[in-house]
Amino acid sequence: MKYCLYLLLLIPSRLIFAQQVDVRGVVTDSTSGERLPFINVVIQNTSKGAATNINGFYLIPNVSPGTYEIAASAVGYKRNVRLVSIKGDGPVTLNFRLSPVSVELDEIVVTESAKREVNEISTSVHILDQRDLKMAPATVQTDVFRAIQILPGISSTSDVSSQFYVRGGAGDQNLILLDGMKMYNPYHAFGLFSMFDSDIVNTTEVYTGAFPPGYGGRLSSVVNLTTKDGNKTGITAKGNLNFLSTKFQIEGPALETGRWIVNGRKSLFSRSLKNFFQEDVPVSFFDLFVKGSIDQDSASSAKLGVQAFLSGDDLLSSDPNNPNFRWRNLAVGFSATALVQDRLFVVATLGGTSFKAERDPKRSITSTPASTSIQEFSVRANATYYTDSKDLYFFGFDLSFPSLEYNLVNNLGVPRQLKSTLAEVATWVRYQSTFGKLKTDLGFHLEIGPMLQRDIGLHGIQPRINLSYELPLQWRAKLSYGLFTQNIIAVNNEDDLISIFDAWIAVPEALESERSHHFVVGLEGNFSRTLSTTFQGYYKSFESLVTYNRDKVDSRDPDYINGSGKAYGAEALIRYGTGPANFYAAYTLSWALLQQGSFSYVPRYDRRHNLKVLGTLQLTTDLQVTLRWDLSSGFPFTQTIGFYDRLSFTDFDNVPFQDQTGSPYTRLGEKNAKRMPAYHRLDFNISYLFHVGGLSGSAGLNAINVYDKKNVLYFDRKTGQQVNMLPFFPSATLTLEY
Amino acid sequence: MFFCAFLLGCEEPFDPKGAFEETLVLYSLISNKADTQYVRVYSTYDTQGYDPLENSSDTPVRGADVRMTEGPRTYTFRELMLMRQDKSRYTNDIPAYASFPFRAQPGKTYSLSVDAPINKRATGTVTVPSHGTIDLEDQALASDPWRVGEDLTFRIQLSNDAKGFLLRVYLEYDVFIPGTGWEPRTNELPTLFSREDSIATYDGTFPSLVRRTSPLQNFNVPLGSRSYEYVHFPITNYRTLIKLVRTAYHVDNLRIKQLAMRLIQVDQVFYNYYNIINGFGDQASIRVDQPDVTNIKGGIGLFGAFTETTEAYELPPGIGFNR
Repeated sequence: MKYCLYLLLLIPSRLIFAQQVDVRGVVTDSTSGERLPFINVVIQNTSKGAATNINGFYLIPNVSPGTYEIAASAVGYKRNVRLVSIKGDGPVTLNFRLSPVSVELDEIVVTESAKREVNEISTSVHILDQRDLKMAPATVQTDVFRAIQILPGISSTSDVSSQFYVRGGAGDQNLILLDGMKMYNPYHAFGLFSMFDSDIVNTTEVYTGAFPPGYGGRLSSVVNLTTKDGNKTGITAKGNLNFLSTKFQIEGPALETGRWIVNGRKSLFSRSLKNFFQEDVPVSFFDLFVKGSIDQDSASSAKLGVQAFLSGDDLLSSDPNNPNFRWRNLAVGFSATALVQDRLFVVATLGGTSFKAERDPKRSITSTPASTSIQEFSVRANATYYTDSKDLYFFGFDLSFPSLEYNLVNNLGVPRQLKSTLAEVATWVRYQSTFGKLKTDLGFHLEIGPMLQRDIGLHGIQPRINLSYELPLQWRAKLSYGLFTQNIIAVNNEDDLISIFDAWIAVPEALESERSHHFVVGLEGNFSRTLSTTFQGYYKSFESLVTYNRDKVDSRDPDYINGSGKAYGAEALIRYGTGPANFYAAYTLSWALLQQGSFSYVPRYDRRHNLKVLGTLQLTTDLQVTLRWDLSSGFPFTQTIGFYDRLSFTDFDNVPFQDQTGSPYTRLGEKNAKRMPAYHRLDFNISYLFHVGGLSGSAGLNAINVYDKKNVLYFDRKTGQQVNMLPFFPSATLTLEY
Repeated sequence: MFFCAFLLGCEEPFDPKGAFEETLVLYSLISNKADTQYVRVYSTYDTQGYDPLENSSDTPVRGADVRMTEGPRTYTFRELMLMRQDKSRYTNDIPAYASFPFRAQPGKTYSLSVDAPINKRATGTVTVPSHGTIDLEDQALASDPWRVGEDLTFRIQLSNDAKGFLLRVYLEYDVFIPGTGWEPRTNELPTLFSREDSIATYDGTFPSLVRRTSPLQNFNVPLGSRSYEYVHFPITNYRTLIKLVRTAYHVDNLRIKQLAMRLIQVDQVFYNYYNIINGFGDQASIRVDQPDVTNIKGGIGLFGAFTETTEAYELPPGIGFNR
């Protein structure tokens, strides 16, 4: 690997084009100083150009000496054109500051928004920036995970959980990164919010399948969140109050090149929901994000940052027969990005994360004490090497050392403790190139840690292939393949309809790592300037999954064994925009099936049809109306088909069985053979932006579940208690910014 | 969109309970231990709500035709009432079906059929394990436990039809009760003492049902150690038990007789059932589900069998007197 890197660095670009130089720099928002990803930088009247990466950095190689007009532009920003004289005596650093502008009512943004995803070589990537997050109507407050659930292939089991399932994968198969640090169970109680306030997130990359090298350890998806650095131009404060939570955010500059941001939220659930639902909703949460960074506009485009994130949830019932739940997340990290050589851009993070959760059964007869925790230390670096031909090399490594602990009292009343420490060590190399109309993104992700620790053999060498072929009228056909493994899983009772407490364990040593192949084909393009479409088909083969051992009889049989599975489906995404109206629709048709020997069943998160529709109407530049409608097939569940009294034959060789009384036992029908009723819900939002003197802000009215559909959330088959998801719930929100 | 919403706005019914179909529930555990065999015949039940404890009356099936066959022989079962031991949930006595005299024969296969008046028929088959053998490896150690030695080791050969077994070891002795005469007494030898203050109150861990580790004898493996099970009792426990007996009774009122062994072999289905409903018998398990298990065709429940084999070693009457 080391030699490969040397070879890459020694590519003799400068020998061939001695008089040509690189133009490079960063693009930032002029009002906040925030670096802007996916901004197009082009040298006018030439074919040369580049887009900024997720860190706002761009590099245009081999520009001949001369005087050029170089422009940076993006939807929502005023185009910035600079006249630059290039002399050929060294790389030119050219930074842009773009001024945000209101999107004009007649501006076509739909196809522009879709363009960056079409231009990506990957089939299953979605990129959301702050504007995209705000476009998605909030339940009460804009939320990252709620926003990404409008993407095709992603579904949630309920209104009140922001946990999501991607293309027939389980909820624990999603890799969630916050500034490069892995996060576990990043969901707040009652699930209306994820842990991450959208105001701290600069960019969200979502890979719903066949993700590229650099991402591993999970089977289904990647959500990569990059946080904001804070306002570089002045101190600003923002506060938000709604029926369910309150939050504040302060950001500003520090020293000459530094800046900082502090963001905190606290729930108001207990009080407001109790008033609305007329019953106790014993939920509370908080989260706090702090980040400080220093960046340079110099040739290195370097940026250093230190960030800390803390969140906590308490679900404390006043009923002594209902268990209490608590969980906490903590992440502390250091990040650095820099152009360390002329064409080598490096992003590195060093961090630690901690997740702890516990269940206190109190006097519940259906629950036992349990706790789970993960402590992880990680170092991650990814380098991008820019070549003369605009080809890109990526390479890097990820050293993560999670320590997992799961404590519980099992069915026999015996305390159990499972502890394990893993070395999730991976490295990767990736090469993006263009051959005429064909763009390729090829690479390998090497799971070195599991190869050494778990003997996963050649499955640790994971090819990742993405091909994109340009068709007429700028349509693109795409093809992707990837192999993925996972060594950490969440366990819960497969027969539960919904799980609040998921414990994390390492895949038992006797079992194979979970393993999946993804195959994706796609067709993407614009029917017109106002209509953008994406069609994709996918097939996921789960060669190895950790499933219940249905044949377990005694202590000599393992609790879990390797099963298999498959998921396949098709997705269509349509974006239509004309004048002040925008329309978005995503439809997913999917199947998922798990197999254990000759027994097969659909998992509880299998969803056949899923339609998401979003419409926005910009009535004036300050007034916007949004409607979102979700329609989905019901989730599978197992019916109760009767009861009987089961004899335990205790002390059978001494005590006659014939005069014993059995214990009641619930007889279940075929596993997950029935479906809950279809889910559908309409949400409405109207928001108004205002400016009064130096104060700006927004006021909004939201209505969740406008026609009060009674979607089933939860059914406790032991008590008969049925709980529906959110009813019609109006709310108001006010955000002030100074 | 609103049209769709209107169409789908009608609430679909959701019932987590499926259609209830009354199903026969049979329980029978036959053995060579007793000369009466029993079958309990029940039906599944439904409740208004979702809590099975709402069901306040037992659901026995009366008037069923219950038979067991073994080769050409048929055993007919008669309905009778048994006194319920635990009346905390149901107060009525227990209707059951019994056949007397009927002692299950080791090595034989029995078929159970139940024709219930609710137009249901359920059947099951079980093979009663053949007798096994029990050998005390060091008989001299049993007779003189204070000589050098570590464990009382028993070598057991199991029937091919046994999936699990249980070996219980007892110290048998007679005690003279003034006015009554000599009375037989028995105390079981634990694998671990938790309390050893007196013979009346001692307690500890006793052997439990375990899965066989030895291969079946017709598996073409050479006979030898691999064909046997070995069960060990620490010799200290044996010494302690003898001491407790010796301490409890005057030397003139005590006659130690023998070390008795009971080998219980159970068939595969009973072994599986017993473990699964008792938390897999796995103290290390983190599973929280409780799967269903049955070998009844046309119904649910269990038709299982066990075989008891006994052996005994005479002990010297003066064992432990000088200790």
